[in-house]
Amino acid sequence: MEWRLTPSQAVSYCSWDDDEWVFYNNLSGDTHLLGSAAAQVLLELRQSSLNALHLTEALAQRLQAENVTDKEFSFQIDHLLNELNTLGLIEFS
Amino acid sequence: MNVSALTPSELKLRLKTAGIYLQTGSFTTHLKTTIPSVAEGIGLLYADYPLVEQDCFADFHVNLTRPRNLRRWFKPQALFLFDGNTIFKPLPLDQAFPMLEWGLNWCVSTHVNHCLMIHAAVVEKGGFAAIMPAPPGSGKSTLCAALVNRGWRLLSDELALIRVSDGKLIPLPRPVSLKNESIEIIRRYEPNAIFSRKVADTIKGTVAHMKAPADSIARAAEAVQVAWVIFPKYQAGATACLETLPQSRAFMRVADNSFNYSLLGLQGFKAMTKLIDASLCYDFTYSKLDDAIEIFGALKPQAANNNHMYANEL
Repeated sequence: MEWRLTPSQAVSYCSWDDDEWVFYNNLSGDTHLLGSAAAQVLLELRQSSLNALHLTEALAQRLQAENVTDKEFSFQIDHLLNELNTLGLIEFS
Repeated sequence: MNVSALTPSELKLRLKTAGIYLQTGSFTTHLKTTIPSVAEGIGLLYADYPLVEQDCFADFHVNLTRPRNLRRWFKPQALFLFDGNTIFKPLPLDQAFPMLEWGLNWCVSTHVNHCLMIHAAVVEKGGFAAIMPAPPGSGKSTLCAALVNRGWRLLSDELALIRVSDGKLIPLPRPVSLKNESIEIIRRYEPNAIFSRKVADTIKGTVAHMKAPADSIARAAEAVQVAWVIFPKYQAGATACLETLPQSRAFMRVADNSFNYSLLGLQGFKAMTKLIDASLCYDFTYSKLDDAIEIFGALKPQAANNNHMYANEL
């Protein structure tokens, strides 16, 4: 089972710093102000679908987290994935 | 020919019969009315606006009339008709002129979708526009009225129209709507400003409209580059303070103040991204108009190479 972008999600975004990103969801018409971690999840999944472990590793690199096995980090990523899922930006399949 | 070319009685007669084709910014309104206070308001506040040839194309067909019901003998009312249809509930006859102004705003805000439309006042100086989006009560119109009486060009008091094709702002200079204490504040601030009669007990309180400067009306065809997005907030006793706002935050707040951002979909997102990218964004708190004028006078547009945006799909 892997996380992936919701099919036909175009991932339109803009950002003027690394902290906050504005994403446009072409499927719902909603615009979301996302933090850096959420933005990196979407950018990572735009390249390929990933399971939670690989996604956590990839994000650890992108976010320069020092310890990828850290439970708190994994917990936060899980929480983030569920939130992005609720927003209809990504899905688990 | 401008409205001022007609005598008051000619204007009244024309409005009663064939109507006038009034040019406001890039829009033509075919306007008819039998209500004397509306004719007087147009004669006073629209004197410098061009009249277009009779029977030409009009974007909006508007008629301010009195409903023919029993009530007209006791509590007379005014009715706003758009394309011959009733749009709003009637208002007391005394509120007919403000109703025209609100109705004209409605005409634009519900029909113009080649532009990203933001609920905001807009002024221009030195070729650059400052958009001031804000909810009612924030002092947006008061600040706008003060600025246009101190050398800034009025582009709009209510509606910022950003052309989707090139991101330029299309002027729509119309009378500035002031309410309650703001009316006397601006009267004192600029004794030469021309106002419509005050109308009390409207849904917004007491309202009056200030005539747009003639130069702003004459230059209504000149589209402008936006350089600043400023969220004004009047706060009694506050020291004037201009605080930088992260552009991503400004994006979301401008979108919240837009009439058609969602309707435009991806096109709206792209237009908003370009608008915010071209702008320096601020929160602005003020209590004294002179301080505000000084701070606005010191605004500088963004340097051309100061662009750090990441984006795709644009």
